[in-house]
Amino acid sequence: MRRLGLILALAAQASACREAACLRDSDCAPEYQCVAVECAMSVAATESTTTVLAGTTGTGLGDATAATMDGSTGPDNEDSAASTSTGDETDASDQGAQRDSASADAGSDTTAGGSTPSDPATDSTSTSAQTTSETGLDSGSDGSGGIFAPDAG
Amino acid sequence: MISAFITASLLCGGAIGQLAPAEKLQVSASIMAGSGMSLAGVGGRTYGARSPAFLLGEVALAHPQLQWLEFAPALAFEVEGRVGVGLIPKIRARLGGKRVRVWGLLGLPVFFAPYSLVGVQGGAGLSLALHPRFALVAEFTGTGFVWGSDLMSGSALAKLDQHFGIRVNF
Repeated sequence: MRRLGLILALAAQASACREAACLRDSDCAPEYQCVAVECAMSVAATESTTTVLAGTTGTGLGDATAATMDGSTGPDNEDSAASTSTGDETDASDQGAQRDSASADAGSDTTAGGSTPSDPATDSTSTSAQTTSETGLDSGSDGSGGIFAPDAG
Repeated sequence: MISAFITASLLCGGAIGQLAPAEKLQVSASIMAGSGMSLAGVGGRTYGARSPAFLLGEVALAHPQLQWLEFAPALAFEVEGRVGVGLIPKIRARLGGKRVRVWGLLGLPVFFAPYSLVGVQGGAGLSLALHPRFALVAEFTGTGFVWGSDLMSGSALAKLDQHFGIRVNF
């Protein structure tokens, strides 16, 4: 009975353990690092990408990615491509839950905000990473838009 | 890495300091492969993932008059994802046995490429002799990594691994 109890306890512990996309930096691709168990582009790479995208004014995935990169500037990033072109304010009621405009552009309903680990070190970049990975989107054909990607080996 | 070697050397030196110099150390080599489970805590939650598969190559040294104690520096390669390279100096305390030998081990794993990881390892293992020169080996280890550039910020990494291989006695 004791052995059975021990096995059950171990099984319970194992089931309480959550799957993680990464547990350390070497689980991610070279230009990414592991932040709050998600692979996120390193700060230096993120800054360079933002600089490049800041010069684009068209629509499409490029804009979506730029909006994602600017997630730290404000809570309302949903459909930011439309905001960029029309100047409309977006609804503030769903801030946080659908921050990733790249996902919104692709027609996916992103609800990743609730499952993001409450790590104080988690910044807007990592939150976007959570959203992107849960929706399974990687900004499609836009290579630079793939802010977060699993290790391709 | 250097401190790990120094520590292991001091431990071995303290244990065998009273022995006369051996005419011939018992030397064996092993090659093993394994994997396991990695655990890390973030934000009060524990996350798990399968450990990257790894290869271990080691040379074990034992004094003929102190066969229960074995010093076994190992070279470790993580071969899934990015290839990681590390050194694991180990000390094994072995129980007697002709065909089957059982031991406990203590190690200081130090990974240095491409990222650094430093931790402490403990575990147990056994060998099954198939021939005076050859044996099958299995080890089960628990490792805690508490420092290194490979760790997430504010997090530690624990690994529960098993590895299997073959040992050759020279």
